[in-house]
Amino acid sequence: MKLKKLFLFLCVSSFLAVSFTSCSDDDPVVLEPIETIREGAYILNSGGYGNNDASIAAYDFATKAVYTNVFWSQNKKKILGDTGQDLLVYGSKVYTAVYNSNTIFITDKNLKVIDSIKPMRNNQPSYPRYLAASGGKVYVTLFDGYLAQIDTATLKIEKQVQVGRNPENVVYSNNKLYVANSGGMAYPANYDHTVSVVDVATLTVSKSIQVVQNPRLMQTDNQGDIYLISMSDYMADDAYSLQRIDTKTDESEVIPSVKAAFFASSGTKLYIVYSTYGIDPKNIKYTTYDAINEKVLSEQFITDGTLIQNPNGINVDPSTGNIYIADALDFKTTGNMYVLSSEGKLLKKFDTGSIGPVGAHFFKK
Amino acid sequence: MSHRFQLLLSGLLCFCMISNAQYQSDTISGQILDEVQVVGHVKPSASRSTVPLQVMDSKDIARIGIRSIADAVQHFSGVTVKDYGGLGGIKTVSIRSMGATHTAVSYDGVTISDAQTGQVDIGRFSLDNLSLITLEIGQNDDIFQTARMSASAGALNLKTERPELKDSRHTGSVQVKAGSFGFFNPSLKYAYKFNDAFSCSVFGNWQQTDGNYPFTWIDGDKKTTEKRINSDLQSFNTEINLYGNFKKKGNINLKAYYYDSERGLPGAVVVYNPYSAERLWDKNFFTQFHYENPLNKQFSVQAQAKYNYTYTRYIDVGDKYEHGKQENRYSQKEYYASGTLLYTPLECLSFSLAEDLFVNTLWNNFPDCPSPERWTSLTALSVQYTGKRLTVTGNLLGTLITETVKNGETSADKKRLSPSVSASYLPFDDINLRVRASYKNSFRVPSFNDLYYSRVGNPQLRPERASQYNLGLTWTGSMDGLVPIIMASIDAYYNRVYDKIVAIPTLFVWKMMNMDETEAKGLDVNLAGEIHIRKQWKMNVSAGYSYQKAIDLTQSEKTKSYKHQLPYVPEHSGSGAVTLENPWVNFSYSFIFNGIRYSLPQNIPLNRMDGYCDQSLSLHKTFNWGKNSLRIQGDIQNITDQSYEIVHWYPMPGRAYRLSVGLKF
Repeated sequence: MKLKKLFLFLCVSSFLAVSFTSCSDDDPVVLEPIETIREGAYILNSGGYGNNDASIAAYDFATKAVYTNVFWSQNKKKILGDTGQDLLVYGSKVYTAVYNSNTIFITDKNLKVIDSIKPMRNNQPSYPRYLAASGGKVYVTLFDGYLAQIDTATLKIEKQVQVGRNPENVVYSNNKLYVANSGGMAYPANYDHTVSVVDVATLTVSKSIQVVQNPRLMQTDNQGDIYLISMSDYMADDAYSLQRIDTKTDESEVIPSVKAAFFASSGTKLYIVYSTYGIDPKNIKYTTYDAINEKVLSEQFITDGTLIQNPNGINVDPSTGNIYIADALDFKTTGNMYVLSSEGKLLKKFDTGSIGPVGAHFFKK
Repeated sequence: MSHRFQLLLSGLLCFCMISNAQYQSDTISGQILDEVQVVGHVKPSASRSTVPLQVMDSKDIARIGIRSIADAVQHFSGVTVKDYGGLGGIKTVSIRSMGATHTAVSYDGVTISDAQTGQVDIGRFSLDNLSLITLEIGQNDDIFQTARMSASAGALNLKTERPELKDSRHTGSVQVKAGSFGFFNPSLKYAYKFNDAFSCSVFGNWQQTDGNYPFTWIDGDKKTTEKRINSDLQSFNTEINLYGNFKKKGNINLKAYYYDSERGLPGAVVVYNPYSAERLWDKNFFTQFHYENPLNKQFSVQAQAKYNYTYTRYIDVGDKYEHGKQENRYSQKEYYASGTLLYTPLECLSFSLAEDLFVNTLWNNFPDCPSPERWTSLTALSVQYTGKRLTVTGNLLGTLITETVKNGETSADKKRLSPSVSASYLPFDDINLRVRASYKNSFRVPSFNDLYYSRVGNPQLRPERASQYNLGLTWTGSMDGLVPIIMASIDAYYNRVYDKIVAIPTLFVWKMMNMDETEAKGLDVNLAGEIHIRKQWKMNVSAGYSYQKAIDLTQSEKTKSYKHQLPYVPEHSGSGAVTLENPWVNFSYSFIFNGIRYSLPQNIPLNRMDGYCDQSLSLHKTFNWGKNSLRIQGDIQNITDQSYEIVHWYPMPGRAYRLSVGLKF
């Protein structure tokens, strides 16, 4: 009898174990409408590598409200993908390059997906990196060594041109496109050290400018100059070199007075973030550089003592002059975005909802 | 959901309460052994141990239908197996949330090392050659062992089968296993007795799998089913043992082991991009020598030596690389020697002194390879008192480490003393109840990757330190003839890890730092019973349950995970097995349960992973004639075809079938 009871109990318990597993939970999800935002910023979070947790947050200028995971909530919980790399607002659409997922999502300004592009070559993913736009075309660098031109009407890649190894930023200036060829995959040595100059009309490389090795980030000013940061090998004396490319002569020169890790341009000024090696946020330098008269204006543009732990990107809102600095913290927990006034005072700080915020991208509807 | 969850969980807990495979040790055909009786076979007693000890021998393995070492370890409580899925996915063991680098893995008494990563993939060892798997948390009661066995927070010990050649000159077996996803695994064992002094054994094992199992993920409003690609594995391993028994002059064991594999590394599932071309080749050769001599009643000595060579080649193909591919090659060597002296002046008192010396080297094909070389000396002094009621074991480990590198900065020398003490007490004469308590201080040295990996490594790292406390009860009893044995244990623990080594991002370069601190509080419950239903009908029930509150105590402005539960540590986990032996076909049901976990340090809904319960069924039958036997076993793994992950975006296989046929001669 005792045995029978025991056996029965075992059967019931194992059944419970089975049914338990089928009980997965679905938290009620509140879909946040971002349709009401007239003017604001999209914050792209790269997510952690291999986590498929890239995401976009939206910041409403009028209400100061922050909506996280908006790509997901606006697209029936669709996953944005792995490693959000760059976001571009152009015309009526938003282009988001998701590097490791090898996808460029094209959405409307409410982030509803219209189309997507998955660039392939030789049966391998091409891996999109950074975006730029000019004359009704969107340009994207592909990590297998190409620059692709996307037609904004057909939303297809219509032309590609081979540039250097592992191209990063692309910018448009003086009727030309400039592509920073990092060669970053050759880590820890043998980086690329060129910027390809691409003629916009024919999409052909017209020149290759020699720069400090491992060039990555570029900004332009109102005079058509291009500023460039080369990482070099992250340790050497020429690491984080700031350079200026004169787009009339396509010559590059190092600006020896400033080192730069990230920067943003207001058109007349560069806002530069640089940290010597170390983890103390007090050691981080925030430099303003006069891009017209070519001189350093200030070595501390954050004036109210705000400490940012691990800056991972900077942008300037062209309409207000506000400065956005992304803080990736430890890259394991959700990041923060700091909004500072042009005088360097903290206006707002918010959680970006995912790991690794990389930048703020401004929009008006 | 929450009420249902609680209800179901309590049901599950009840199940755990009534039943453990690892506690079969004190029985021989249903008879309770007197506590002091010395058992003829080597299976150690879990209930007498002063620290939590869990044991699974080849009989348990066969009875439950355990399929791999990882599978066996998941039936132990207080441990977490990190499994990247499939046969080729890395499987590591973490004891009580301290991290896999704090777990020693030993193979026939000698610790397996990986100075490069500091952790051992238990997926590379074959279960078919093992006779015993034990897991001890804290310091082992066996004081006649190497010093290195004292140098970790706990140890997973793998013991190979030693052939019994009493009546015949040779014995052997052939086994073939085949199953879902292109799994095929033939193996061969053969042992031969030259004369009364010398015998030898050979083991060969080859396995292959396509590993292309289906998995699902949710993309918006639709469920996407894909197949795992580049997840194949081919591996071969062989082992030759020479045994010598010179009676009063001691005995020797000389082993040569070789492992060779090629596998695809499927990586994390990357949504929208199925491309995967990473491949890995591994070669591992080691030879180890063991000599043991019980000189007289008071003195025993043992000596061991080992040479280990590991070669790894990694390739990724893709046009983003400079020459269309990336190739990394690594080789590691270890030279190891150990000597232990056991002195037993009184029957109840023994001392031991163990000295280990070893050298580790690493080479890789990076342009600025530092080629580190590490010299380690470990000295362990142990004392043990074994009385009728009380057992006390004390151990003090001294460590000296010095390193040299060819390029760059060298890590400073390290010196450290690590104590441990443990006791077990029998308070009553008529109840087989023991109280045990233990403390252990241990540390893990930074791996070569932590110290010297290009740009990321940091030679200034200090070792990670760990302190652990355990308080437990063990009980052995019986109920009439129906339930000849019930064994139960409950252990509460607290541990803390300081100076945990983690990668910290600083602008574009990550750097290894001693940043984190963690704390774990928990409870492990194990129950096992044997029920004799009638003649030739025997049921074994076993279950384990673990509660773990393991939190991040890192105080930093850089993180939002202070006091959050550590990633991949479920608060609730458990396992269980029911086996029924009968005259027709033996039957076994087993499950492994893990509750809600977080994939990242921050406990937010975004990082939450659902619990799962992986259930298996096994049917087996053995036919005997003369000295020969034929065993046929059929398994269904993950019978409910539940899709789950242990590591986020590394899906585990769904329902799988396996058939094994083994012939012993």
